[in-house]
Amino acid sequence: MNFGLIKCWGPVMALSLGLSGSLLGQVEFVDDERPGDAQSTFEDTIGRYFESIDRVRPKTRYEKMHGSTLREFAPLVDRSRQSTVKIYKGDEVRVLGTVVAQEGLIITKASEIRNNQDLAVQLPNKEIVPAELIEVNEENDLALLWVHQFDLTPITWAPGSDLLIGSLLASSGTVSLPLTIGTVSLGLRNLLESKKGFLGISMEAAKDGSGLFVVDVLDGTGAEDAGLRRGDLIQAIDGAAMVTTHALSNTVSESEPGDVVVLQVVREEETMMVEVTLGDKDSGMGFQMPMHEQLDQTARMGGRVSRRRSGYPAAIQHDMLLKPNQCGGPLVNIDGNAVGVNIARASRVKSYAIPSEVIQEWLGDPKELAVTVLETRVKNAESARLVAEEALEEAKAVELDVRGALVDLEAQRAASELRLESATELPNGSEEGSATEGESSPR
Amino acid sequence: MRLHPLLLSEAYLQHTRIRIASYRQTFTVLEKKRTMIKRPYWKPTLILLFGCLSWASGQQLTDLDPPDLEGSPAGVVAGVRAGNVVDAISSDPLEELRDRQASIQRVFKRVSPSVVALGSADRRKQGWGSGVIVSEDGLILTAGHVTEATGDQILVYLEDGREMVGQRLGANMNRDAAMVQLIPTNEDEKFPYVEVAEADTAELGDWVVAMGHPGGYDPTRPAPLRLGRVLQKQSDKLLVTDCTLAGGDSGGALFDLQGRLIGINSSIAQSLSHNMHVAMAVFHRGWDRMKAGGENGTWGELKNLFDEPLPGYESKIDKSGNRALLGAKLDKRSRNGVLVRDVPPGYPAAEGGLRPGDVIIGFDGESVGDYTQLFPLLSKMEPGDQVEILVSRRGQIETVVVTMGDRAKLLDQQAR
Repeated sequence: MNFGLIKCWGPVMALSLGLSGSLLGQVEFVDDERPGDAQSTFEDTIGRYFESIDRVRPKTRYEKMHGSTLREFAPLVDRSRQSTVKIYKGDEVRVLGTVVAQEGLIITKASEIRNNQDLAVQLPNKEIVPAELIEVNEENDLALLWVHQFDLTPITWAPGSDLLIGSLLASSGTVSLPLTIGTVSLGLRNLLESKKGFLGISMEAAKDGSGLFVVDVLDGTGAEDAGLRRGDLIQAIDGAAMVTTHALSNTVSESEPGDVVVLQVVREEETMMVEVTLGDKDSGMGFQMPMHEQLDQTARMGGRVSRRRSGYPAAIQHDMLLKPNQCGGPLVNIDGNAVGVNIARASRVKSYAIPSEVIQEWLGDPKELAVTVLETRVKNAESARLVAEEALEEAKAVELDVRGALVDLEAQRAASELRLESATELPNGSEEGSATEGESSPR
Repeated sequence: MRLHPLLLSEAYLQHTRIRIASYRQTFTVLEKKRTMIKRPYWKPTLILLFGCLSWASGQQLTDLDPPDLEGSPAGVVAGVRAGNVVDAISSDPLEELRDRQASIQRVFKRVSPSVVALGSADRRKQGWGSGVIVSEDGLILTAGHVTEATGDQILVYLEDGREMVGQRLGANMNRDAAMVQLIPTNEDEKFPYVEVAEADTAELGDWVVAMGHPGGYDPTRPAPLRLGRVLQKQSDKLLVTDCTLAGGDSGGALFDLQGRLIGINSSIAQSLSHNMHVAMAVFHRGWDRMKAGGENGTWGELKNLFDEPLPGYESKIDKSGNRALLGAKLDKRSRNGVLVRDVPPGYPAAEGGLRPGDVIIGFDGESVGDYTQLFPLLSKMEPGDQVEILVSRRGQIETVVVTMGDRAKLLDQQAR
């Protein structure tokens, strides 16, 4: 984040957040700068601003992030921190990683390390080694890395999956205190973005509770195609009576685009059934709820969020105060066993983790995986050796060849020197000329 | 815009002012430290000495302040004498954590069915909030700005997915507290409800959980649970915790680990540790009046929720915004009650029926001997609060109910 950008966002922030201009001058955005990262968004800027506030304010006793509280939870991360690594891009910690096999296998959040050719991993012993990207699991946003190490400590996964809401959790970093602590907010959630159906009307509840009046029909939507008009009274969808606007929008958005619904409509005191093919909410008009946008704004208060934070088929929702670059590390329960890997900071109130079962299912047996990975490495090394051996042979041949040529040249030079000597022994008359010849001969 | 009052309200602006002031303070301190380093070599020695002193006094303070110590103090003392005793006590260092975890899981199970989402039945008023059922017949506690946004007819979404209708009751807007009555669909319908804690049971450092519907009602999930601790109590009216809240959580519930309702989610500031909840004392004080609803049931204005700066800030709070006025001239030297010298017309005291010559012997349920006892009770009041004053009038003891006025407004009128 360069300073010019802050200045240019300044007025916008002052407007949207009610800040004074003099305050902005004192805010510094110094941590983890991302040079060459063109994707720094306005959202990021706001997040950094909020983080800067929390940095200036001293943490008071009893706060979850205060050392005294974290110390109480320190036993939870005793083992898992030996399996937590930092993943660097340049000088910056991009994200954390979790060791899954002793033979150098590490998993992390894929979208944070994408397009990075030169990845480096800082091991628990502080040594920094280069890492190789082996595989990416797009759906769960996980990446498998390999480092040339054979004595890493793999994470212990929690047996079973009965993670109750209210279970205590800690996120382990590389130090003895946990990064942050919290609890399970909700059980496993499916966060796949299913497409929501879209009817294409705005409506108002009838005062007598008899249904919903159509206030407006949007162009190019299923409602228009079906011939709905302003003033129609919708009484039911697929036989279910509709009294409130919430009920109707819930029913519609639970359906999928392309579904056909049957509306019971009263028009000019005549009841009719109208078939409507639902459209796609995203491709439909900007049917926006300003209030939800407003709610979103408060969800951003408190810091940056991960760029990818949705679309996971199964995720644990918890309330730990993570930063985007603290994802990828293990999430441990009260026994110190990992129940998952942190995958995203999603808002002020929630973070997501991929549960251990999903990870274990993807990776399979760690030993077998290590065998597969190492076999590939061996094959690669073998072919590299073959290439090198070929090159060596070639080099040897070239060397022999060149050596022979060199010997020939030496012999020729020796012969010409001999000739020169015999020429100087010629009679006196030609002395001047021979001197000229001798000077020019090295050219 | 109204669901989240801190973004626009006076309270928010006030908070911004606090924040700016605290920034200035921090930077002044930093600046001072910087200049100190530049001073001649003997100065740092003094600073070092001073540092040692403050460290020593800090140590003393911690010794006097035991709640952070694990286990019983007796155990700690015994541990100093013989190491093996400590070993015996702390055989499982996580025992306390395990107990806490069990409590949190139990609380969630017990209270989850009572946490509801509130929406407006009126399409033009798009507001989402939360609430919590506190009685079998469906009385809901929520935040003042939630019912202000939803209007009189409220849709209530229960945890089991039922959509019901609720009626707005009263609100104490000074403190962002409000009530809603669920309308049962049949006569003997009983709702799942939570236990309401007595006033002021929460202690600093207590572990607590907050619930509500951030981002509005979502039929695919119950209200998510958030864990935190009580970081600050602003008198008995406001709790600050680090249970993170977001828009939509307003009106949701804060529980202690016994599962008792100790607060109602109200507002947030930028820091993740600044989440504000209305304390139960506010509800207890205005319970009957709020529950009765109607014109008298709603009072005050959402201006300034803060009595003190938020944790981590040090600047002073300007409370002149919502100071209350009784409007009676009192004899500050009288004993055995406070003598009312004069009651100017047009002020709350006169309208409530207080008369010159009355002797105030009780105020808001507390007995009053002299002015020094009355003053703190008076300054607790906020505009619109109704207070019962016990007076001795011509030998008879009578009760006068006065609705406190808005000091700034009344004095402004007087000046004109």
